[in-house]
Amino acid sequence: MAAGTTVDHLTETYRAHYKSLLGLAALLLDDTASCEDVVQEAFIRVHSARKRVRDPEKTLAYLRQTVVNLSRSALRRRILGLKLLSKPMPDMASAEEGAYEQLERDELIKSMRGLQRRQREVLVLRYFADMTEAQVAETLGLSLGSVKAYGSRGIAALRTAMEAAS
Amino acid sequence: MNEGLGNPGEGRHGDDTSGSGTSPEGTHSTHPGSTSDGTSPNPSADGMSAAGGDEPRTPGGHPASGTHPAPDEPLAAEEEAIRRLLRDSVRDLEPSEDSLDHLRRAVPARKTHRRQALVGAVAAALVAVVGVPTLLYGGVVPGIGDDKHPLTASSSQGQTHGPDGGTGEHDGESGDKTGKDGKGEGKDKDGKGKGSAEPSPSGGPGNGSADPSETLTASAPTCGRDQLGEGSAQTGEPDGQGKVYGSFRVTNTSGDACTVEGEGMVGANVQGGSERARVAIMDHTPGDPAPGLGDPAAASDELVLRPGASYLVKFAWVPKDGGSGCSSDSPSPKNSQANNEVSNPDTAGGTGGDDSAGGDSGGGAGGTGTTPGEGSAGTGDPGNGSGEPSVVVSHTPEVGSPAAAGTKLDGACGGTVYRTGVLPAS
Repeated sequence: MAAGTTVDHLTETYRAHYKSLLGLAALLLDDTASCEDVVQEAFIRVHSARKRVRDPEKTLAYLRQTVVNLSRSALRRRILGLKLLSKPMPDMASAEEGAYEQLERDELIKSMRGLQRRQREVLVLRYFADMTEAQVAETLGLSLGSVKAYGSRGIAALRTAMEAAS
Repeated sequence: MNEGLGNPGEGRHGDDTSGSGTSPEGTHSTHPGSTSDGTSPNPSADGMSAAGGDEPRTPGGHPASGTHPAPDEPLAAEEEAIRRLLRDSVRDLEPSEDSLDHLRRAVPARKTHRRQALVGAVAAALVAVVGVPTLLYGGVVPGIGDDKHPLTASSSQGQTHGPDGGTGEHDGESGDKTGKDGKGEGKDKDGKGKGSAEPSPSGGPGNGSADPSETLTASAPTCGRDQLGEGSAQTGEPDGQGKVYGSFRVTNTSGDACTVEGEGMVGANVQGGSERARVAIMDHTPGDPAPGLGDPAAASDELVLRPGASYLVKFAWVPKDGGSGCSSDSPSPKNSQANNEVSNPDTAGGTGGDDSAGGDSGGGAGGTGTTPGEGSAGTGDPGNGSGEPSVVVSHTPEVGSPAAAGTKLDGACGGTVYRTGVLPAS
């Protein structure tokens, strides 16, 4: 990462978190086409509103929270509909296109998309973002008990879905 | 463990999976199988992660369904497998080339935009505070002006609070947020008459904490469990393929308007039957086998219920191909319960603990082995009563137990329940 010298906060968090947030969005979203838009929007929101946030942990928490919120379909539709992004994202390079295409074929991704939204969110935050159950509860606004329930049910549903796919 | 995402060295995916860092090099499409084969001795984890491979599976006699006497151990291995699969699946995603440049331009632009919008937002808030009560007290619905004021105002509140909200500990930002989103609100007005489909990140109580603008525009509070009642379930006749459509209806029985947040749970509890039945609960999506559920986009994350108003959660039961595992081929919705709208006394009243317990522990989907009741259903004892297999589908509101409504599908066993989110009842 930037060795703390002259790199601004935006660049710093971009380097540290952008890619992983892209993964987070890809796992939460139904359509890979919006991943980059959602992560971009999250960065813009967090950085334009919280210029003073210097604590990396906190910035990441804000970013994740925003990605989760934006990934919920109603919200995303509105944002994309409003074209809050000043311009559409440039065409993806062919290499990335391949990555997104590959994602579309991934059995796990397909199975994840079959889960209930909450189950998927819990699994992704818990196991991809490595949050504790308490952190997941806070991020999703759920009780700890609900997080556990969604988690175990999500695993069971995922297992069923993947077995069905095989 | 937070470093998992925070770690700049994103290439090193295997690092924090503690000891399982035998991530196979390169071969993206085949790695799920090979990864877990190398590291997890557990059959259930193997079943999960080998799904991408071509190992044949027998649906009925899968080891995962029978070997769960000690839930902890398999679960841990399975969790590990999920961790790995999730990381691997998105490993190859890279930011587009000029994404950072784009951010460098967009962030300052947004800041400017927000400052400009701040003035407008303050004006809008004033209008909301002064104007809305005036209109409502003017006699649209006399007597409940207090309730309706938050209803209307909440549409702008949801806007300002949702996206950035989170923990609510950022007092200093509230003015900025209002400004930024206030502008969005202006453009968006037409689309959102009914109190914003925007999910608020924390449930009801958290919203009120720190944001000073909250005092300007109260929002309809989250519906408490005690405000939701008169639950009922309705099911139709099975079609040629054995699909059964139905719905749950839950009503705001209190005298105050409130907001239903989240889609609640739909649980399925398998009863009776001679074989282990598997029931999965899926969200309804376009192109799934339950087109009769309508457009998934119609569901909202938040729905304001006036006193006496109801919401619906629709579901569809889609039996597994050929009704495998069933003694009879297609479910016949229970005569007394299914053909007309009923208020199921068992589940609506408050003794619905059975159903909600089944739902909560996820037993319906099979295999976790944490629910004693499930276990007995799985071992092949028809001891649960009738002996005829059936699936009880129930709905528990997001705010918690007990289940609000449930219905029994007789003759059903293995299959999938597709569900919608929360829909306004017409």
